[in-house]
Amino acid sequence: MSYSVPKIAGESDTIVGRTEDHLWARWEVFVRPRGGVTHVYSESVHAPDAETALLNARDTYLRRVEGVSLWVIPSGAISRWDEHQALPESRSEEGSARRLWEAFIRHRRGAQFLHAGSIVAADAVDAIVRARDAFLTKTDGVAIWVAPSEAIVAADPDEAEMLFEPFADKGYRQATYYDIPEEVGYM
Amino acid sequence: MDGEERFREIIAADEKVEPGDWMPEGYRQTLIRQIAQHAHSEVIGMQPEGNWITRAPTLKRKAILMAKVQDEAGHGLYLYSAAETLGVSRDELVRLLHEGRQKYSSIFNYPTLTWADIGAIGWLVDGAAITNQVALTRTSYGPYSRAMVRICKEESFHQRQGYEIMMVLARGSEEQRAMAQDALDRFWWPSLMMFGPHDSESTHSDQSMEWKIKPVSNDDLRQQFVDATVPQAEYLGLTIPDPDLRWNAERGHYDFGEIDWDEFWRVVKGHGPMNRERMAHKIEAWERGAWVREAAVAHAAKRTAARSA
Amino acid sequence: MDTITTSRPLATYLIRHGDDNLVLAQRLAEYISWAPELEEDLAIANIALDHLGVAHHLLAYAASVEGDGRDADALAFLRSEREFTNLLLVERPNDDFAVIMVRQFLFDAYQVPLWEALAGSADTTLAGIAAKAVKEARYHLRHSRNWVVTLGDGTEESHRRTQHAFDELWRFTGEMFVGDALDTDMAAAGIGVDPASLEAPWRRTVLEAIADATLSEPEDTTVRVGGRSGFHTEALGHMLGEMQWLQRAYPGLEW
Repeated sequence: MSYSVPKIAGESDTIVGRTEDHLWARWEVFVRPRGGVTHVYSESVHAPDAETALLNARDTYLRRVEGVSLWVIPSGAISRWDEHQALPESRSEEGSARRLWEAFIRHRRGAQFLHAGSIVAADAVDAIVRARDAFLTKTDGVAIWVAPSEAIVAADPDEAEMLFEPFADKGYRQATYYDIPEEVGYM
Repeated sequence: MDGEERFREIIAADEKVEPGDWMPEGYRQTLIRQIAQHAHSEVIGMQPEGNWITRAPTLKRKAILMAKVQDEAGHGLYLYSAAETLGVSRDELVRLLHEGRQKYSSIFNYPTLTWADIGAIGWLVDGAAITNQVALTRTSYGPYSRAMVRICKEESFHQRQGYEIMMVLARGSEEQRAMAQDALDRFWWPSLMMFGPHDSESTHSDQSMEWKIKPVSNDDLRQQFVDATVPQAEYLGLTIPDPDLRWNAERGHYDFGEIDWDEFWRVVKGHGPMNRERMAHKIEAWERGAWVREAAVAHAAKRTAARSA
Repeated sequence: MDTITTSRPLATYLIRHGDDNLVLAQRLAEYISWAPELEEDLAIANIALDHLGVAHHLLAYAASVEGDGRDADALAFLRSEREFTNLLLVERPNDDFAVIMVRQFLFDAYQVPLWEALAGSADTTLAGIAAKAVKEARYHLRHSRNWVVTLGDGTEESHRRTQHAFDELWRFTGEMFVGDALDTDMAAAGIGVDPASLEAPWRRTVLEAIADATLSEPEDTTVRVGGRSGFHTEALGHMLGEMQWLQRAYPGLEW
């Protein structure tokens, strides 16, 4: 549903500052749909901890989509880069302590982030540089997110049945379930 | 190229503005206001329809209505999630709503008195909403546009289930037909009001259209909705409560009567039939949940402390 | 003891389990738009929809077994409270979020082994319904257990409310494991399950969660029964009054 509620004469706009405090942390959600090749960004949920975040993501984003895999990542664990930020030309030296990162890429404005793959890197900036080198041919309109692999909370594949199957037989959530005569036009 | 120049270029090229981009503060404020209002509308919208879940007449209708009200919660959630990319938390937006500093769509300040109202809301209110939202999938802010795409996809069943309820009632008993006509009588004008004031009266529209936040004007959307809905009412054998409604062959559109703008402003200003009840319900639910939200944070903190100990 | 008699014991058996799911779905439906966070409103609606779906399947099958021309809706909307055979636990009112989650947890911990057993039923239709329901019930249990542990361990207030919920609901749990002649016959025919056999797995699940939640096992030894024979608490009549109103006020119509 929607719509603009007009301003009341004389009412001043409520100016909204930057207030990012939320009692429950924000978690970014990624879903791999059935038949999909990769995890696709699916907005966020709020949750007090990882288990609740995973359950909330399932209850929110898999009501219709038949998912086969679900990830949640604490928003604060993600480092973000886009075309406006300068990046070092070269990667960090080999030999420093390195770990595994997951890279997510938005290939153009308006598109969703997609999981591109894993990389080994020294830190977040290094991970972004390496992700750019590994996965991109251009940078215009592109954005990159990286998160340490260990920050990703994934649904256990053994649990796929209980997490993803219960939505399969709820046909009433689909428009085709309803028989609407053609004469009344598209609905 | 500086941020402002790049912003103008993005808008001019009909591309999407994304969260990391520079944007004028007015653009950000307008978006927060509109997305939050949209989110609040979804969430408050759970109440009038939720009012009939426990009384739905069949198991099938109960499941459909529950799934639909659940969708409203989900859609509110997607929209808050999009608003958060502008640097404001959902908790903050909920607080602004509870303090009466942000609004929700006036349509939800009307009561659902009979089962037919559930049909009328799906058919008319969701019909109007979808008209608006399909246009908004083209909005210039990426996260808002993507939320709209997701919502439109999910909502395709909302209007159809409502119209199906109306079809069953319209061919049912005399009492059922009367119930359907009464619901149309009460929800027709408030549905037209959902599109907002005339373009000539709408102070926000020009800037919003220039920034491509709002791609189609109020009056154009309203006309589109009337044109689509009149044949649907005819098919049901119901009468739209507007003596001035008639086909205008010259314009290729239906002409229709003037909205009662006094009523419109009365409801916007908080004096509709259900304004107080809707807010009281929302605030009470939030307050009743406080101990749960706090307990969850306390438990999570204890778990973290135990792990690092 | 039985006020409910039927020449078709299978139908009666199906209706019992159908009623459990229908009544709990209705209770959860009452709570929609009242959850502590938006995400939880979505979760509760999913759980309610699952229970409603199972109820619909079981009642529709019961109606076809009866062969009296009744359908699932007639069973749901046109029986009186003395004819409802749900467990008393599921009709208990939504006093607060702790009661809602503990009620759910106590029931989920029972439904998981119940559906696991019924998935092997000699009646293939019932087995099919159970095989689907068990996946849902496992998820419900994961969700309700998470909340029980969170609330028990959370703050002083949440601990107190959650312990109170266990204490208040405990007397309604024994009924889940009390069988009657019908249960015995159904189990003997390989169609149903002996309810007593579900108690041990239920206790394991419940006591483990109570421990994780830093709560205590209630000391109440009362076993309040009656649901299976239509002897309910007063709460059910009000619920049915609301749920059945439209069908009762306008009899015989299509909706």
